[in-house]
Amino acid sequence: MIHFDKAHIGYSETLISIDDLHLKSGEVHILVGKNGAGKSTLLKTITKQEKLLKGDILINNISLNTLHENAIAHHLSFVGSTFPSIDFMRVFDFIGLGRTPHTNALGRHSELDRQKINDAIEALEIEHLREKFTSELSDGERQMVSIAKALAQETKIILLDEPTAFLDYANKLKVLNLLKKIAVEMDKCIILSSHDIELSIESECPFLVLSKKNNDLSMLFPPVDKQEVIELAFG
Amino acid sequence: MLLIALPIMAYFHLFAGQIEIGMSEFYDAIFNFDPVNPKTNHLLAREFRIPRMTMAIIAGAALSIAGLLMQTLFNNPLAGPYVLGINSGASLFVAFSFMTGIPLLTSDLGTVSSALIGAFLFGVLIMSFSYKVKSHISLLLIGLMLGSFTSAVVYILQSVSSAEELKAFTMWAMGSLQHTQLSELPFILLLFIAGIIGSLFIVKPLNVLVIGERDAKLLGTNIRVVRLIIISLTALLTGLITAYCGPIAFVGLAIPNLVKIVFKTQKHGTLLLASALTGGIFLLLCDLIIQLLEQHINIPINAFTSLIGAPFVVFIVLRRLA
Amino acid sequence: MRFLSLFSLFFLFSCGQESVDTSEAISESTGSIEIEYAENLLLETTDEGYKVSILNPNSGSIEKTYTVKSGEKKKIIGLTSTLNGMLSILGETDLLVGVSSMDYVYDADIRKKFERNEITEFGDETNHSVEKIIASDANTILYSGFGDEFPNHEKLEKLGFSIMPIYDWREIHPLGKAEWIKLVGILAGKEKEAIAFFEEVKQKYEATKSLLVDTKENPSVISGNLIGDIWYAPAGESYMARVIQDAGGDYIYAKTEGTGSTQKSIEQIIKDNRATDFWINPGIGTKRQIEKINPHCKHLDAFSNGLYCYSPNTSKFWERSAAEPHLVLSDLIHIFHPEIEGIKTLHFYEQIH
Repeated sequence: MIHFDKAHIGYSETLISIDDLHLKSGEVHILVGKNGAGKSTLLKTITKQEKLLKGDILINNISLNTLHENAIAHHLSFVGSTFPSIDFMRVFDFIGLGRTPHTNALGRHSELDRQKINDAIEALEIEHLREKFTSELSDGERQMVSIAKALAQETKIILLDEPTAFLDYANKLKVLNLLKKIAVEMDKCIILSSHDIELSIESECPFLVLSKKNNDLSMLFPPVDKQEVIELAFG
Repeated sequence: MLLIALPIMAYFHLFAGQIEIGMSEFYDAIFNFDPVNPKTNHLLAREFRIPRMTMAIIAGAALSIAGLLMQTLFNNPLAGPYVLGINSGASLFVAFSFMTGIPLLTSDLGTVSSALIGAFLFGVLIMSFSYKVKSHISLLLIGLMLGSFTSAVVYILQSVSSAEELKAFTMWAMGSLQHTQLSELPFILLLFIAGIIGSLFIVKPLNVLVIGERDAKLLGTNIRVVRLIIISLTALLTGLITAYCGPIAFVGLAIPNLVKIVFKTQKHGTLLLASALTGGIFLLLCDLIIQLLEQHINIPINAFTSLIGAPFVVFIVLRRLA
Repeated sequence: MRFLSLFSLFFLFSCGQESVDTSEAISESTGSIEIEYAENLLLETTDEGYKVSILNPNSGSIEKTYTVKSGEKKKIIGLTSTLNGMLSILGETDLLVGVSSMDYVYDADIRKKFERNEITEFGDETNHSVEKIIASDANTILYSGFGDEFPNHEKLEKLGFSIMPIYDWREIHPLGKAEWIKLVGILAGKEKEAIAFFEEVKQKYEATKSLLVDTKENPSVISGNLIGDIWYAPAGESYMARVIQDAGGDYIYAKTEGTGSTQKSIEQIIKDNRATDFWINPGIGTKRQIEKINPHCKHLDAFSNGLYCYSPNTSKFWERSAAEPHLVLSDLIHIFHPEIEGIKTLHFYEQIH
């Protein structure tokens, strides 16, 4: 799904160089690392918000260097760490925005689009939120709604920037399990950045560990050893 | 509801005014008009009432749409063509064109072009500032500063220009819905409709822009192009109205907010049409009240919209802080 | 500017008493110079010379009083065009130290003196340099009165300046405006010449008016123009309404009340004036400019062929028309009744094209 090929990532200087790394679909990858090690930069580079310094990243076998900015939306969706504050936006309409890459120039929703939105709502079990305004949602509900929007976008790859940061333990667990279910059942490649190492280890997902010391990214498969992660990321 | 209210309001507006003009006279003014030696009431109906009513609707609708576009572009409910200085840009360039005294520039077409160019340049200017400031209020302050700055430049221009140019500009700057003639309406309508249709074509990116530029971009929106289109449409609508009616304040800011509160949606198809209709009704109503009060007190349209619009903006600010 | 007027309003209240009695004690009046038409001016004789009182046109009571020794020649900063014109008529432009701005000056003498640096520009009463005034060798300031005190008048009066609000523009009778030349005469030590000049104007005004005896039909006349959405026309009892009537014009709004202006909507103007014969004083000198501020003007018949204004001679009009109202009258008669012989040329007015 995602293939790093001698990719150099950073702002002006290389923060991380990734020689050769494949991320498969059907998995949730937990991205961990020190603050400033480049978690956000990595996610931003994959979504073309930041320039790739050197090398290449292949998304669905397409080089990021040749992929047009506006075509990105067909390949990957992104869930940010903050939720936009908007008045008078209903949950259904918000999730519907995920259909944007698939609708015609006037943005009208077809029967199919509505079906996909409903599927996303169903998958996240948020039918009760459907007609609510996004401004009325709790932090946990907002995260679910954002993920539903990403699902409605129907991309193979979903990136999430610290989706569990503002949630309580129960909600963190819920979001993580849901994402795992989605990855497996819908065969998606998910990367989420997190601070929460303990919880992530329990989820039995592969880890992507950013090492500031080595300037690289290494993948650890479950069962992941907590000590090893800490050593690598914070040592 | 709005679709019914607009014609009713327009009807009352047509028959308001100190001189009574009957229904049949309106009919004759339109269909049996004698261009050589017209009856006074026919002339009044044709050259005064109809253009005035049309301009009230167009101005209200155009400014409201421009306001909505800016609010969505800047993700700022307090944005509007007046507070962000788009009007000021139009005024400044019209001032330049008047003061040069070159006939080509002081012609109607020259005034309209100057207003459009000024509005566009100030739109680009405020947009470039918008990247530097994060807070909604700061952007408004910059818009107000643009306004003060241009007033000062206009003041200096006035002091070096001749009395006649000065007079013409001062009159223009006072603003009026009454200065438009029937013969000018087709041209104005054409640009106005172009503006509306253009806006309807960008409903999709507008809907996405609501959740912020980054997310809109990640959903495949070509932000740079969309921005340019929005600024151009705003400049077209604001510049057009400013050129013909002078600066009219607060309509563009207040109406879209009112519409959002009433319709409780962020779907821009609905918002655009509702803002246009509500804006048209609102300005008709303002002008109707002005005409009813005419015998006792003269209120320029710009002063009247500020009278209602400014408190409403304060209400919006308080509501958001609460 | 607003600050200044607030300031002066404050002085008006706090020093109102003082301003009536200027520093010198005023001698008993021994008689008066006859004022026939002017309503805002009182002139009395005293043992030493003259006592000049200027009345406030709003309250009708005396606003300021001054003493002038007979034969004394004041050095004047003239911020009102009208009185500068009167100085010129009396041949005393030498007494003029300064004007507000040369932009408004018509008089050739004054222009020449400006070029020789004998006359300075001081700006108008809202925007002038006090220090420049103090440094000048003037001792009298004449300014258009608006009911406000002249800025810094207290300091200037302490330094010996006489500061006179001039209300000629508030006079309703055409000859009332002209009569202010008597004040100028006293300030210039030429009161006899001034009185003689006024008597002559009075006779000429009556003589000009009498040219109309044989006319039967009076053409209809509208005056003024649109400002914003409102047309300001002279009210029925105003100076302009009076001159139009004296010139044999049938002024459309002659029956409106007031001495200032009457406000009409443009619809009303069109309704009342489509066939009106003459349109005077649009305030602008070209049709193109008029159309710009008043796009509906072409619906007035007079716009095409009966449009007259003093605008092409603005400076001359403001400087001379008050002192010589018979020339304004003569212009209007010539416009309204071209058939009358004896009037060959226009002095202030021109047809607007």
